[in-house]
Amino acid sequence: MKRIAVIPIVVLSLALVVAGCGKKKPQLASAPPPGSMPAAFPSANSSPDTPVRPPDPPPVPIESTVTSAPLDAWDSKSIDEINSSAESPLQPVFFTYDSDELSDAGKKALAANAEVLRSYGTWIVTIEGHSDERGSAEYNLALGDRRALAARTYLISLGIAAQRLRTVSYGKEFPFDPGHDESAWSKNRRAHFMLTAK
Amino acid sequence: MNRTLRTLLVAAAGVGVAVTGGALADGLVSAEPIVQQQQVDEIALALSNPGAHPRLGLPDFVMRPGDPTMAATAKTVADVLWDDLNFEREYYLIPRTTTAGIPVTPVAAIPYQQWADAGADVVLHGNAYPSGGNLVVELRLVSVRGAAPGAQYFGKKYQCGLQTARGPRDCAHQIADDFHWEVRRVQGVARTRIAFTSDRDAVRVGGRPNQSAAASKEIYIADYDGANQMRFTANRSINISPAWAPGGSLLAYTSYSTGFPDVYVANLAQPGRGLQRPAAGTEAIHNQLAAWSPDGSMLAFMSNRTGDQDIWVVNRDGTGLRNLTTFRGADEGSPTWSPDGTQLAFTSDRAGIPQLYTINLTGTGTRRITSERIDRPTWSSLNFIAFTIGSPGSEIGIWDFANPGVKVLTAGAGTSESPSVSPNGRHIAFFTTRWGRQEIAVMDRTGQNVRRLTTTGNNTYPNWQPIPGR
Amino acid sequence: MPKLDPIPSASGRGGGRRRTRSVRVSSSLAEINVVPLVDVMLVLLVIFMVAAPMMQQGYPVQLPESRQSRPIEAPVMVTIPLSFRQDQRVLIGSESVPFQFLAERARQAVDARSEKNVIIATDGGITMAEAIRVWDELRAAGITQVSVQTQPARGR
Repeated sequence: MKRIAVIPIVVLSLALVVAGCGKKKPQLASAPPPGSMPAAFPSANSSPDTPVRPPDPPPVPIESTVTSAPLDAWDSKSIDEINSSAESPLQPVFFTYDSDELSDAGKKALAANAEVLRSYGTWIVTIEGHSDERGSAEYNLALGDRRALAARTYLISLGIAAQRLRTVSYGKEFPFDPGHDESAWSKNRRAHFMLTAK
Repeated sequence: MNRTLRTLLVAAAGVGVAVTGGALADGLVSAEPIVQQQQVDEIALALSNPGAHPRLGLPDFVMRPGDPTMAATAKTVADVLWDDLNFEREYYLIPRTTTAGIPVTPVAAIPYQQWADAGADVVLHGNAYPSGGNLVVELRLVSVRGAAPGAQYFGKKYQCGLQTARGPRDCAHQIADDFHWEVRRVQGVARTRIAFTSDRDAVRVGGRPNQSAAASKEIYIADYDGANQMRFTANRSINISPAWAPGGSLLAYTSYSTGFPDVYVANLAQPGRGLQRPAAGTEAIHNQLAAWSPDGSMLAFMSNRTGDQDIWVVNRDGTGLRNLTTFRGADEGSPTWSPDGTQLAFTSDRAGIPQLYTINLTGTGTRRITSERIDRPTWSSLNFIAFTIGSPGSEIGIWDFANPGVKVLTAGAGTSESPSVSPNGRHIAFFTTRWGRQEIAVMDRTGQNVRRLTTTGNNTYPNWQPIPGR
Repeated sequence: MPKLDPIPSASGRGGGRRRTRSVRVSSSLAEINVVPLVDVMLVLLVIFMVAAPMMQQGYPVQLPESRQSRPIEAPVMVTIPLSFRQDQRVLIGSESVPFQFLAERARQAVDARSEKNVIIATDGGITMAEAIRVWDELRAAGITQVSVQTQPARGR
């Protein structure tokens, strides 16, 4: 009779032991602080030819008319005077965000610049590539270089001698407009022409 | 602190005794131990346990009255020492203002109960006195609770040279690094500095379009805690991307002073003189974003020599120039060396967006690490890479080879970019727009304890100096 | 526990009753003596019967796993005893702390915690003004949430 009584007790105890051990210590799942996940980053799996980026702002309208001053007038001025003049005969080329592609307006501006360079056969120019302040500084140095090279390649295709066209990239280090809005950014995404020798 | 520096300290101690405290030196002149006995109690165990954070009080140093200038110097040393010790988070530092009411006494009369009431486990007691124009500080780490209050675990006599205004701060930094090493075997970074680019003294660059901003940027150097910010270059052009050489006495940077970007190597001891241009840039060849090999013999940099941007390496003397990334039709940039010097990490947009790659120094074994949009990688000596991640709206992230995966450290307001890791791998300097303009900040490797270093102008491209003299 | 008698040796020492019993024991050597086992099991049963209701907190569900979770921390208790009026000391946990270091000690107590909250237990004889003094110090220590501990009213 004693043995019969022992078996249910052992079974009951074991059951309780198992039930007791099976419980895990409850843990509080504290929600991650808002904004800590890089949800806004480009997806890791996005295909290379469609990088996720904000919609491009509309291209800035560029006046494509050649400056009104007669071309001969620039011969009498110094390099610094020409470069600091608001009406430099050499027009800047503007780009869309994170792009080094020439727009139609940009090609027109370059065609006008090619005309000026043909008129002044001794001029040597430096094409500066600039970017707006968005994106990391080091990346923008390469982007600025691509923009300057795009303008240079197009001018060479228009028949300007390569040795008259130098390039330099300033990235986002040397903004034309120090503002922090699209109107400033659109001015800063440019290939800027500086007269280096005449 | 390594063996070399300890030897140096011992040697300096010898010199200090021989000169009997000549007042010509600056910073730490000598250091000699004054406490030998080691108690083994719970406090001693906590002090040697990396996981424990003993609570430490740091009262004003005991000084004989009558010399207000020296007393002010001693207070500066104590304040800076508190800050330096707090920075590494090895101890819980009780704020000095909280314990200002506890009487400052000789070491034998420390009011243990009052310190224990303030929560302290140990007190770093200082006894200071002038000696030949120097300030001598005797530091003792004393238990104030547990089985044996009054037990001493550390004791050293430091001699601080006060030749210039930097003296007291420099000395405190060196004491903090020595103390961290002696008690916790932690390599402190209190005596390191941070170089960065700033437009705070901007001048208009000549010959630019009148309607443009055209502001110059120069290289600046500050102590790791933001003190003593001073200008290093003065060429009124654009100077960016400073990079300290191992040993911390040479600084490479990119300057546009000749009209095109080139890598310059400057000697800290003679700023502006003897500049070297190992990458030999010209109007057509541009070199930027230099990084030193761990042994200081080579520089890696970004160059346009082949038409697009590639990573090139060159010996310090300008020999041995070669292209490491010959992949065509893509831009490679931001090189950084692995701790053993056999590999480099860099960014490449060959897959459409800039991503993180590694390559052997031999030019073989190119490997993509992650598919995120990455810029400015920095390979720490602790074998993780910190970088800028995302665009626009970038943050600081790290990739740890011991635990692979991207971890983002910053979040929220503004953008954060251009990380530079402290030589002990425990902190990251970066620049951020969270306070409006671009400012240099420092945070722990975990992303916590963000501390702002700059307040004027736009400040970018921080680079953390290696431990000087190593 | 029942005292175990030594097994009698063959020399035949011991009283008559003992001998009788020893004969019985030796004859039932094939059986296990379950008496101590039952004793132990009954004690265990009682322990588990008492413990089982404590383990059953809430409805049994399969909790989701999270890498971001932290163990639930026991709250920091700040006690303001009636003696506060005389000695200006309060208790953080079980340690007596002078009022001048209260903010610092509270900061230490919550330093490593994710949630900066404490529970105040105040003696009924402490005035509102005194409790607010303590409360201010806790807020100065960066504690964002202070709860006040009470007990349910007896009767109406």
